[in-house]
Amino acid sequence: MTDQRLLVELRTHALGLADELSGALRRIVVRSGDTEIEVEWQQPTVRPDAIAAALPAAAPQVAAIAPVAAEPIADLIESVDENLAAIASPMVGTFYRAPSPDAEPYVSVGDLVRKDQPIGVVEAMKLFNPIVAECSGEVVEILVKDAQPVEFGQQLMMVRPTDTDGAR
Amino acid sequence: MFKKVLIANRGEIALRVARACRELGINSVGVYSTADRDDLVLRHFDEVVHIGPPAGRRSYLNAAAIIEAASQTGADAVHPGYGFLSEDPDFAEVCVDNDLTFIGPRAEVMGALGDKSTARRLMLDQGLPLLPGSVEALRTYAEAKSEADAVGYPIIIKAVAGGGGKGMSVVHAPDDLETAYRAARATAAAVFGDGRVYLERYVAAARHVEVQILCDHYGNGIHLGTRDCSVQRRHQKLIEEGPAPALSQATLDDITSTAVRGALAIGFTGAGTFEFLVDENEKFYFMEVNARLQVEHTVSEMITGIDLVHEQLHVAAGVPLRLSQQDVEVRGHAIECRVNGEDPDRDFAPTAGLIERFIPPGGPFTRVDTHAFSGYRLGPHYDSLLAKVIVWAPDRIGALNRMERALGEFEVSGPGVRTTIPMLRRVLADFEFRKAEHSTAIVPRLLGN
Repeated sequence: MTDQRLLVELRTHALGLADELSGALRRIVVRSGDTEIEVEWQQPTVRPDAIAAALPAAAPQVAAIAPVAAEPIADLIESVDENLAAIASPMVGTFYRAPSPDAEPYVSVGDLVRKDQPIGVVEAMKLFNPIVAECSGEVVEILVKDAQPVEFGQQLMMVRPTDTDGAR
Repeated sequence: MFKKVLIANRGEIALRVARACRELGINSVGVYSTADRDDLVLRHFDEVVHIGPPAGRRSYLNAAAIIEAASQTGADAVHPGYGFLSEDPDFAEVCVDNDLTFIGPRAEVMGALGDKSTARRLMLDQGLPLLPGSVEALRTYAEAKSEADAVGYPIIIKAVAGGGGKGMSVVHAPDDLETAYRAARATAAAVFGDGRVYLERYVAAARHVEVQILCDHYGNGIHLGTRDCSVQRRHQKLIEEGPAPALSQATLDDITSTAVRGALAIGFTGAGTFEFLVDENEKFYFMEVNARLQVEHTVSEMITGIDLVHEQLHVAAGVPLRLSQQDVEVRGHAIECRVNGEDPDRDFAPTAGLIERFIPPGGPFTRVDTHAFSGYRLGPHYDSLLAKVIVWAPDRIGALNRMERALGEFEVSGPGVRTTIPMLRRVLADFEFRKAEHSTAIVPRLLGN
């Protein structure tokens, strides 16, 4: 089962590489026994270390990588601000920024929050479910309005985590 | 009629219902789990809501998320499809409490039918024939023993709360009863959260024949003919056809009118199926009622020309039946084959993986209901049904030949992906099956066990 998934994963990576990198392909070898992707291009221009670095962290180790043209490899990685952490809704419901209509919002942009501090509530089936910060940091953006319906997994806020975790 | 219907399901049946909605000018709301976040599927709905992570219990079985999604989108009804919440009376009740029409029978009728011992009692009271066995749940092993001795072996033990072929156990000899009885109770408790079981005579070479019914809220009910679903493995259907072959017209008339009578007597509303076991002497016995649309409803659609989901939506919206029994004319023969992502070499274990090439069949009188496509990832989270192929022809042999042609065109391939297609083709080519002399024993025979 795991082998199967690994093979599929490897294959996807190999095809991804073949698609993304320029130059005519000569052959691709994908193996799952000891985990191997082998991609061979027609014109050799050597940059193997760059390819290895561009592979997602979760990818299996690449045993052998053939030469490639020195094209921009940064495209392989999705450009997201890795310095920000999203707080997502754990359920379908209605998001509220404050505990009651006339109360102050739990947090506003610029506030510092501690890990596990309430940042809002999601009401589902008349139950109010507290949403808490997953890490300490600064609230940089609130992505949903008060009383807005939200889906499962919908991002509610972006937080810039602080180095030292405030929650002790 | 409804303005907006939320479809609380996934896969081919969610698409099936969405298509009916679109044809009737009803807006549809699709719900999906993280595993089903697929634009090629979601484009069939007018709106979609992400309701939860892949695990069914937190998404498609999550009543709270579905009700919230319905109220967010302003849906006025919920179509449960089959499986998941479709036969959950509590869910039907929660829908009503939230001013949503549940497209199915009333919660109390569904509750009574979902409890197999209550259903058997109800039908016995209406004069429907039952197989010899315990009508009510067995209370003790001693009771099981005396009941089994009275009925005679082999017997089959079934879960009162069961369904989908799970929690059944065949016992051939008295020495095996105690182990089987205790195992069946434990399985039922684990799978259905209800350890009650009952037993009845086991008929090895029987036919599984069912009647499609449709009832409105005003005491009107009709049937849409019969289906034979004898080609099963582990009590799960592989091939369904209609009308049930090799039965006399008198038997067909008797079985269909019995089903309608039973349905009306218990106040059934909507689309449902009465399942019967038919022995070699064409004597039939009531098995259970499926209070929902079934996977194989397509067979009835093909032989009657009636769109069951259209009618189901109308009836649920409070419209009196638009058809009388005289309007239902069964013509020709239809067959459905279930193409599942399963490995026949590993006891039909579900397979997962990327489907690189998915080329469904086409051609005359050939219908394919599927949510899959080239590039579709078959995940491990849900049941393995990939596609239903349904064909129609003026007669049974013509339908078998057409199905053989259609399955020959069907290509499903990818690393590690295996399907039931080879097994289905073996059944279609089987001499006994072609002569319609088969029984529920056919798949075990072909598999050599």
